[in-house]
Amino acid sequence: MAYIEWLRVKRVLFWVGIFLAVSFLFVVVLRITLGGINSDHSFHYSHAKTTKISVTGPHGKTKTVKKIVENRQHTETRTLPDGAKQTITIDSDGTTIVKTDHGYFVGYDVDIVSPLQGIVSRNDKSTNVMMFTNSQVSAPFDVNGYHFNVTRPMNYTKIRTASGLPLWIFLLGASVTAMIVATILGISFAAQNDGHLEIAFTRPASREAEALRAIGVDIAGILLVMAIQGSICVLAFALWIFPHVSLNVDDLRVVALEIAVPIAWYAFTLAATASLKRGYGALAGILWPVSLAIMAFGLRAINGAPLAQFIYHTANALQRLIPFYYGNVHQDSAGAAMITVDTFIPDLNVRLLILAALTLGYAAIAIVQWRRVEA
Amino acid sequence: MSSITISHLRKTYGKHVAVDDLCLSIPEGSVFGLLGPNGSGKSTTFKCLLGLLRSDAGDIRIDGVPLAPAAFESLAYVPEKSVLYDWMTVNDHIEATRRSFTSFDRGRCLSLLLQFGVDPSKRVRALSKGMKTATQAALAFARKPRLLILDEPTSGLDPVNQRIVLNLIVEASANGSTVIFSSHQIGQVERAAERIAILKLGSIVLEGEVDDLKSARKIVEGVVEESFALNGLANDARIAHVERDSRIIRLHCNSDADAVADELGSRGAVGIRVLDLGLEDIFFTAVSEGK
Repeated sequence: MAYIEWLRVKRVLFWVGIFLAVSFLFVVVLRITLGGINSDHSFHYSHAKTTKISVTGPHGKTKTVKKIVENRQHTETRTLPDGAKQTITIDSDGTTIVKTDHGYFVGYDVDIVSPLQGIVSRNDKSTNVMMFTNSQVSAPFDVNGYHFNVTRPMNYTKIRTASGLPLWIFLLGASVTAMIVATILGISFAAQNDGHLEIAFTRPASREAEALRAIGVDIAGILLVMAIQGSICVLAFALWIFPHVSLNVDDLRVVALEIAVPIAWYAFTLAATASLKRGYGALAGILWPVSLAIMAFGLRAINGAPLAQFIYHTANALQRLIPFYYGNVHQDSAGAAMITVDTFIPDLNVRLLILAALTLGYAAIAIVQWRRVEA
Repeated sequence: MSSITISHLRKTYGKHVAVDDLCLSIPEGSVFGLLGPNGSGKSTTFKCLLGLLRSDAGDIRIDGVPLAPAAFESLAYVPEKSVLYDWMTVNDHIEATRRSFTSFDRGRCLSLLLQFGVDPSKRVRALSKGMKTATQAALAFARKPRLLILDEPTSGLDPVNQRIVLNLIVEASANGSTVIFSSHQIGQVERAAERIAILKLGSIVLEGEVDDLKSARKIVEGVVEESFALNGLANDARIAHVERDSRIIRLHCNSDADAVADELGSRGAVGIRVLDLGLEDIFFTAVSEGK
């Protein structure tokens, strides 16, 4: 049965492969269309140019880099000793932009110093492509060989494209695809029940062993999907700029969560359909909206009415059984790390443990049901 | 070689009794035919035997021990309907079977498929019903199992391929395998099986060696007057079943047909003949009793 399950996984991988190939092709077309086939990462610069950053001019208006470049009064280009190309632009308000291009593998830096007026809002953020940082400076400083002659408080914005990107960002899409694949593979026992038990149950191995082998193959398939899509995501990113993928302990926990949720969802689907001979596909499909609805009702009570309270408390309790629930994480306001906002289980380690327990529990329920199915 | 013992097997689906107190003993190395009309419990018996259905009562033993997963290494089953995966090719099934059974002979399987005219590169969904049956048979016979359980193994096959399957059954038996099979083609059962059991409504109504059953059962046929009355003949223990078509009367005898013929003659019947029964006649007699 493991071999047959592997053939099923291969079929799913085939279709996922086609989807990813088409998506990658789309990114290639986008890259050529927006940046030109031989261009550097100008797409990023144009992105930076149109992104509103907190460069507050003398009139208290927020500018974009694009606007500053359009209103430039002075432009100068030079090549630094390390080969980096530097472009200096100064506009009529005295805002100075220094763009230093270190090439494809290192990326570029943009440093903007503008006269400070009024209240400058802090706008530090990561766009997952580059890092924006706003601060106030009041003394001269050097960046990339350029001397900013600051004599009074100024607003300083720096953009760094070479900052390391955590691996979990590249696996976000892969995790969603893995959830879909987990749903498809999660009906594997039911698919056997649908007219093939005579093959599955007449082999010289116990049903439990057959089931465990099938589960192993399916989980390997889910991991393979994540690895393939993650790699393609990195490749697609590399079309624009060299991806500096980073992985620290905190990132690793988020990556583990991204993997654990689809696997737990697979086990959940398996347990829900293991004893069915018909209608299992529909059930697996409906598990998504039902789970999301339970989680929505579990957020807060609509009002204080007893029925609303009952629905809320029931859904709030039930949602703990849904693997989706434990994937509910958010980026913190500083953009530094993924944190959980759930006050019930704020710790990622605890969530991972719960997901592992759910996976084992659901898999056991599925096996117990399946081994008793009659042909 | 394998022997099968089924004791007091009972299987119900809700209120419907599919198999009721069925007892069978199939000696090792024999070819055993299980006959019965649709719904008589043949497939249910096979599935209980294989553990695919849980029986409500009874005991099933193969070689004196209850069925264990390891027994499937030397046990092959061909179900009545195709259980092959439509999306897989025949070659995929061959590979899956090879990986599961150490005794599987891939070369023999391909050779059998060639005989059946099945293209192994085709997907199962592209095969006809008969080709699917042939593929299942080839996968089973290529394992050279000690015990073969075949549920309607010729279903949907053309006469040429039916003959191939029958030859495979006979060959397997000659090599020491125990074969238990069901078929609606009574002629095939008569040709291949040494012993048979006839099932009706989940119970065995007749069981024995084919030759013994045929030699014991005969039809006494005669021409009688329109006014001829059966009197005590209808309840005679030697007579299983009486057919009357206008002036022709046929008495299906379980035993002592010559004595019954003499008695019929003494009651005025003329043109009396004692006819040998084929297995088909025996089957119809067995399943029509009590109707």
